Amino acid sequence: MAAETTLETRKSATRADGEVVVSVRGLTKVFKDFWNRPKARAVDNVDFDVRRGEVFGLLGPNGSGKSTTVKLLLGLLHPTRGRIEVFGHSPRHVATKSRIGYLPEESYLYRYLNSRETLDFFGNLFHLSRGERNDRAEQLLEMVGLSQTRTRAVGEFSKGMQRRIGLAQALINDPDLVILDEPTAGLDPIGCREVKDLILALARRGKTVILSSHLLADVEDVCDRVVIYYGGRVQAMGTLKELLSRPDTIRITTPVLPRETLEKVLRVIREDVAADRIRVDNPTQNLESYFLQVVEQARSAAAETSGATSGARVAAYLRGEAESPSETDRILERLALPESRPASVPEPATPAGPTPDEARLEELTKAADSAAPSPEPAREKKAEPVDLSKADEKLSSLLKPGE
Amino acid sequence: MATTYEIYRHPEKGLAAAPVTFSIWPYLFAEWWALFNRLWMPAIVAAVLGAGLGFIVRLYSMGVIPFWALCLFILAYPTRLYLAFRGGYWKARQLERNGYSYLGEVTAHTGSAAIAKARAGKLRERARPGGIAFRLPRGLTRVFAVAGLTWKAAFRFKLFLVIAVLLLGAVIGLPVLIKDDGTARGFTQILLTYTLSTITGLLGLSTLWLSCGTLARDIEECQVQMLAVKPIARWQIWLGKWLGIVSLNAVLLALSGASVYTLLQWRATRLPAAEQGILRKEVLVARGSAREPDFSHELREKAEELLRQRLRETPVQSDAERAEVRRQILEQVKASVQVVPPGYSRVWQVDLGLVRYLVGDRPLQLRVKFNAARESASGTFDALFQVGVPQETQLWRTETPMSLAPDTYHEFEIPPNLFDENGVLTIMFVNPNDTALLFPLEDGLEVLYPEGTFGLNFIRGLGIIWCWMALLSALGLAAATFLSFPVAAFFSLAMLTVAFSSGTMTTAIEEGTIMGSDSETGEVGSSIVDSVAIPVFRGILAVVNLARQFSPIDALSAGRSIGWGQLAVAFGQIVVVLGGFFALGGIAIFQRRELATAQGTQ
Repeated sequence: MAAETTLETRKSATRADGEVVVSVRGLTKVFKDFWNRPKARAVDNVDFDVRRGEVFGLLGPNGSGKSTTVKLLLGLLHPTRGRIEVFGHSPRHVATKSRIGYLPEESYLYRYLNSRETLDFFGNLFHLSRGERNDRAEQLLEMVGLSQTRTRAVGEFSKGMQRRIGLAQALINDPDLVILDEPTAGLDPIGCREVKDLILALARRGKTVILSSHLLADVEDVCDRVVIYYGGRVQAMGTLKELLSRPDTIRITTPVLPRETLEKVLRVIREDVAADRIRVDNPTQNLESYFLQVVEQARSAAAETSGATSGARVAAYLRGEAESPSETDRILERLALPESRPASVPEPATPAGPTPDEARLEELTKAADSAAPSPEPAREKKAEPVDLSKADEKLSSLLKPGE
Repeated sequence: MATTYEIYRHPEKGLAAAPVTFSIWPYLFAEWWALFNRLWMPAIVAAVLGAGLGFIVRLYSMGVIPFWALCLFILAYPTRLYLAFRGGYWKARQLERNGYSYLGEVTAHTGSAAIAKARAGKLRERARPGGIAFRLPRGLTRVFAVAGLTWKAAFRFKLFLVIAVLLLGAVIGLPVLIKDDGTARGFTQILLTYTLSTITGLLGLSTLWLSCGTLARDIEECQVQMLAVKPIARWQIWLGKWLGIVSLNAVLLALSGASVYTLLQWRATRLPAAEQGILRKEVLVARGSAREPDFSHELREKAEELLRQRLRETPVQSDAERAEVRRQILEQVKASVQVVPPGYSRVWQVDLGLVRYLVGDRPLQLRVKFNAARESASGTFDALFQVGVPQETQLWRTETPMSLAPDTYHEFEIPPNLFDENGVLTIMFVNPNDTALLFPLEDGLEVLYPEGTFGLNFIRGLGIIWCWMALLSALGLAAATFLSFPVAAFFSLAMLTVAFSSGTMTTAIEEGTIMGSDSETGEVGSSIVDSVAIPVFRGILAVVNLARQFSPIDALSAGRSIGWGQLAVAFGQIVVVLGGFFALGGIAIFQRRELATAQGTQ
């Protein structure tokens, strides 16, 4: 489900004519030492726009300037040069902040407050009435899976639970712009998936999401457009399709075929393409999908846990169900939704591999005979499962000059 | 001042507006605003209390209260403030009772402008919040949210508990550890002076510590980032923290003050009857003080005239010599008023003014202090007093000479109604000794009269201590806006030390040098250093004295009245002027500070 939603979102990536929510021009941030001497150039002459309804990814290895950019967008740092506008105002414009939700990279919450009090406190800053604060807090705690730990102090939470309550506080005001800095850091795979689902749900409501991460899988799953940072500079920017598609290769995915059929297809293809440029294999599900399936089975067996539970569906008020939207909202909602939802979307082609050998062909066609499909409906994923811990190295190598 | 107005519609009468939060109009014109809006009861209450204000104005015109005490009273005029906050709610309820229905809200400067905006279609459709019993402006809600957070932190980290235990320990423990001598004075010294001083010290240190910590740690641990990205201005964060700390102080001070008061009353019953009498008359009261008019200015003028005359006769070249001659002449002139030679008398005329009506038929007290030119064998000197004017007023005089020790304060009671029809009390002292006695101009003789109860006086005294705490919390928070926690704490303590070093600065200013002078040649040190340091010291002293000129503990220990006016002045000088200075500085720095340069340390 989630993967399909991702694809839908990706399809609606180019909302180029939408309202500009964030505008960044020539943004430069130089950190200085006590004597005002330049110490580090964290962000260097960056330009980008984020439009309404977009899920915009800030991608880059550690220290590349992602978090600094986020903090500049929020007015927590002041630009050395350049201009930032958020909803047409300076990032330090107080009233504009009522439209922003922010999840920082670490848990910066008050450790002595429990999760309920945390949400109530932040709700109060948005001048929500007591009833509304209570309603939203309940829904959010349910959504992030902390409804059973509402009276525990946040300081006693595990890192993942702190991320969850951090996410909840970022959404207490039903923000129009959500800025998430490493939202899945410290979360278990279920939590990661839920966060990604939430981001997509927000985007469907026309909310704008800026996601800063070095986890490629996260960004790839949810982002419409990304900017890739390295050394404080923008190295690449565009939609995922623009950046990732390889127009010189195609990939055809079918149910398992009998050997004869497969040989026939291959024979036809070999007439136009050299044998060493054709690759045939089974698409594999990624580890995340497999893990979720196992946990789902365990949950069905009603195992209890003292930690965070899996969150429920996205909070009603975030789905826009809590109150009937005004006419303006309904129009905006309609405008924000994709015109059509294609049943399938072409995936980027699999990288070229070695020539299929006969033994491999034999093995593949055996599956057709066994008629024993995988318990998990195979999701189409264009990429090999990524070793997330190596994300930084991968990015660095990708960005090496000359490659 | 723009206010948010709720707009209501009546099917026949059309639109009406009611302010949602604080509105300036009911504050400025309470009675008229209430009448105009047909809020009869608030109008009556405001009118009655308005008459009270009239009385205050009258007191001012009679010179009983100073001008800025009057201004403070008017500014903080509570009914108007209440009406300014609450009036909108009353009006909204009345509109609904009269068949109006709620439409939405707009922001405008006046009600009519709000209605015009609503007609122009600028109405915000906003669900009307339920339970609108008392609505605060949005900014204040946020300030109170941050203040509440400070309270929670104080409780969850057990800071409140620790300070409360320490304070109560000091209140209960000190009288146990230090035994009084069984006299009313000794008793007061231990149970009032020492305990209140200890409470002030402990609370002052904990206030500095808490105020430095609450903001500096929030910045260091990045929690303030979570606040700064929410729709709350930084001044509101600062103010919320300050409000949290000062309200915490108020509760702690009330708690420890109540303990001191209870202990004082309870232990007083265990004193000998005579000492109890002294205690009730001299300490557990609130006595006002009246003195001779201050004529030091005239004395200085006379001294200058004499100096000019002497210099014409005997010119003096050196500045140092001239300064010494001036000092000596001034002392001579003062002595002519202060000194009572043997066999001579001295008369004081103390104008009691309006106080004569307040005093009624209650006895007054004289508080005297004198210095003697030489010691007597017995250690005391005889004193004869007469109060009143023969043939004009009732008269009282000491039948037998009183035996009084020099260099100490003596209090004795005089009968009521000895003043003349203008309220002037004439006091004569006759010196029957063979040595001259000197009654200092500043505190040689005072007339003390009953002004109020000790309980209220005690509360006002605590009020001044609270003002000091409010100042310390402003200082700590201001330091924490740009310094790390330990450095901010050190900085604040250093500032406090400077404030307590005012004696050294006063001496330097009196001597005109910080470098010292040669007693033989009269030459002083570096004039360049002094030309900078002395004006700086003067400036620092002027500022420090705004807070230090009040001495509530001494006043309470001496049974002196601390008037509401004095409390208002203390609030104005300590909290508004000095605290405001630190607040403005702190907020300005906090406003400009980049909050995300710190990395989380939690």
